[in-house]
Amino acid sequence: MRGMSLRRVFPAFLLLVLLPGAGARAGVELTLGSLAGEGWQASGVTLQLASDATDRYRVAGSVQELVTALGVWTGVVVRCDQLTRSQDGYRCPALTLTAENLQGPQQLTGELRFRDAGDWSLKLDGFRLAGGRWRLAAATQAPSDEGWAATLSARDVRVAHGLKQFPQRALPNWAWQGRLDLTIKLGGHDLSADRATLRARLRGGGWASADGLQAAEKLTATLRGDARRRGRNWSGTLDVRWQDGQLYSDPVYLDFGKYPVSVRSHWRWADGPAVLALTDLRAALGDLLTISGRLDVPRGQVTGLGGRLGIAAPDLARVYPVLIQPLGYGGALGTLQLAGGVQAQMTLEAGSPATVSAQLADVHVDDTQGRFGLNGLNGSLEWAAGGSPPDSRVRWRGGHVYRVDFNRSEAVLNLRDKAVVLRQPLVLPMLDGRLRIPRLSSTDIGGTTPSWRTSLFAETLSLPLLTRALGWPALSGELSVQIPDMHYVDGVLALDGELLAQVFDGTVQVSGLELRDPLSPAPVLLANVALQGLDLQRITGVFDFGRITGRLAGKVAGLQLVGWQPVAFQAVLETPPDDDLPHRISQRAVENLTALGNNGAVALSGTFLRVFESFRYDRLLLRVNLSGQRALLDGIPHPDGGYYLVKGAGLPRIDVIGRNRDVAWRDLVERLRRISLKGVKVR
Amino acid sequence: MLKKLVAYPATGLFLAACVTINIYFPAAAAEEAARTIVRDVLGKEAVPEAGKPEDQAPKPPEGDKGAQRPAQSSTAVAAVGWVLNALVPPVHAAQADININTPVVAQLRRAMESRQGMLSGFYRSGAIGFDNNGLIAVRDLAAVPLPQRGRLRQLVGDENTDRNALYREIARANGHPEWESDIRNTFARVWVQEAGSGYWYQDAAGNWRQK
Repeated sequence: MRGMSLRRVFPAFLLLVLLPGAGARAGVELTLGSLAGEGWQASGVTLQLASDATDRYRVAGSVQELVTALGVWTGVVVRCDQLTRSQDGYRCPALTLTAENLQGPQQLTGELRFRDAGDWSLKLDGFRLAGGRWRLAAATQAPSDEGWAATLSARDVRVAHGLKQFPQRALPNWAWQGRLDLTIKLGGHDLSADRATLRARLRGGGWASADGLQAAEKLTATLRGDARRRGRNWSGTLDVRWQDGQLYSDPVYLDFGKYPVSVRSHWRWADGPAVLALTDLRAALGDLLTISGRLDVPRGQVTGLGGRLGIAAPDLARVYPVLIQPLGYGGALGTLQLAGGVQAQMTLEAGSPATVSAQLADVHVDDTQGRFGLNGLNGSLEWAAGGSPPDSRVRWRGGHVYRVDFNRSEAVLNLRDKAVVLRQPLVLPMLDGRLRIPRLSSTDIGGTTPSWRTSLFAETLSLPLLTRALGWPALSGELSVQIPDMHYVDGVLALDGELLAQVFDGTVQVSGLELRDPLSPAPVLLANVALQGLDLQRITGVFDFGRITGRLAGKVAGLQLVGWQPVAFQAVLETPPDDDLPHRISQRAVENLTALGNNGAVALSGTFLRVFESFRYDRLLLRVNLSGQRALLDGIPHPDGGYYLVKGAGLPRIDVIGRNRDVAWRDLVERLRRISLKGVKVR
Repeated sequence: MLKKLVAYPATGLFLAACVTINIYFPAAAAEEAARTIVRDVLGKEAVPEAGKPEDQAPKPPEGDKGAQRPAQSSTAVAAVGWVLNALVPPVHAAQADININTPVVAQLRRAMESRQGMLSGFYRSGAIGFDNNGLIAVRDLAAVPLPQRGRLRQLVGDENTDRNALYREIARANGHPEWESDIRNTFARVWVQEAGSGYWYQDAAGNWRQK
């Protein structure tokens, strides 16, 4: 009878039991060999029937090996020693089943009542699976058109053991923890189910990936769901709550005790190529974040997720440290303070965001390192992975770049994939003027090779306001900016164009500006500076160096700052040959220049020269070549080998002559530090 | 006779002017500089025996490359060069040195020293270790409590940012940006040599080993 199906054998066996008196007077034993059905296979099957009294039977069945989806069972013995027959049908009050499987020895007890296919009940208890104890109670319902109902319940099911049963479906090299209590109620007609409810509770749950990037510990969660079948489609509700425990999903850490997670949804599962649809989805992460909408999961393809979600974060100040800051560690996004709220709508296609539309509600952004800030940010941001997203419009009440404030303004942007393009010129009112940014475009924002290009123009920025904002001595004059092209590529910020400051009745022009690795601890700044026609009297008036009259011209070529510290330049500062202003220098200025050149002050006040407040001079020249830690000083050549810093004129004549050319840069800075400069901190 | 008297020195000067001077990476000086910085950063607790690199740690390459050596421009002039070397006192290059006294190096050292206190526990637990590229790497994140994992990854990122900047700055400050990889390799060895007992490091093949 090898390969015989149960459908053929079972009626023969029933015939023996059901025929009045059949087998009552003699025992019957059937050796069936192998049986097979869909999803199972049994070998060494025997059935025994014996009777010791009228309408009382002993029934036993054994299977040497039973292969099912739940594993391989051996030595299966089903026994009922008190099968009785009455007008109400057959009853077995003490059914036993023993077997051996991977879980160890199984010993089930239960009871069975059978009148006909529309009136029966079965209880089985004691099945050990995945470390838990399982119980089944099934019965037909009254009236009979209600079909049957079954309750499968289990306690202390070990998640790790359970997942071992399905190694091909569990994530490899992940460790699992936790115990599960669950109750599944099924109802149906004939042999198919058409309704179900599920209640599950996880205690001490957790998981850990081998690399430690995904982990959870001590989770407490509950799952409630129900399902109903219509035709070949199912639908129902789902309610999941994570109430305790903690999760690390690199780089985000969540404490569910502080921020419990709840997910509620209706769902619909359609047979065939259709999808699992989560409709009316409502999820919350404590009071930080709520998500609502719909998700569609193509059957068997979680990565093909699609749908539309609404996301609300009413308090970014609390969301930021939990969800946003970890994503930005190491970059500007990791050092912010945020406030305000945001609501967003997102569409998903093939598992990835396709569009995002976000409405900002009075958002404040501040870099904790003081580099930038925006406050009162409102408007909408429209982003799309492809296609032609609508323009985004954001406006703000004010902000700052370093310590320079700017006022109310707005920007029109286009955000597509990793690119941002300014659609209308941006005007930033600042420093009593306007900084105009006609164009700005960037690529690979958030990627590994971000780049951007812009241009900056301003004509009448106030130097007094700028210097006050930067904490410098107040300078009068105006700053103009003409930078037709400023770009950041491969970690280098470069400017084509110049910064021009109209200051001290002259100009300071900065060109060739280049900033390398601006976000590294040691950014490198390169620039050339040219000075023209500066009024020394006004300069020395501001810096309290001692009064000098005349003009100052010069340049600082090859200026190189590393970590904002000068490491190289070739500077020349001098009174130009065609200077039309009178050349006079005060006692104090002479003393300070002497200190600068020779590391030792000369107190003119201790000599007869104290009667002179100032002296005429012919020319002033200072050259400083800095290379690393060494500065080479020079001035107007002096016949005996030194150099004039100040070449005097008339009587009484004072020359300031430098003798030491090679100076440690640190010493030179220290000399400057010692010179009393009112309101200036020399760094 | 007079011609010869003038011609020989002139020829000698000409040949001497043709000698090319190659600047080799001053490995010994770089190692000394690296050890100074590494000991400061790791502090007392990490150094197993001050001044005694661990035996199992990678050894520096053989030979002192610190000197500046004249290159022989061709076989043809080798003999002439030998004669000149014999006649003319050799020009010794100044003792090669590595400058680590720049404001940026000082700033980076301060940052790394202050971070070490936060990293030392993770070194000891084996959560992180020294990689073979002069940086640190997460070795066993599972050894770290969940609330600290994000913080540790941030610390590792910050430390490596500083280390990369340090190697670049030392090379730059010594006028040889191309030395960056040599500086990095030197530091990679010294970090391991100076690491405390029980610390983990990657060998040349990338396998983790414990001191």
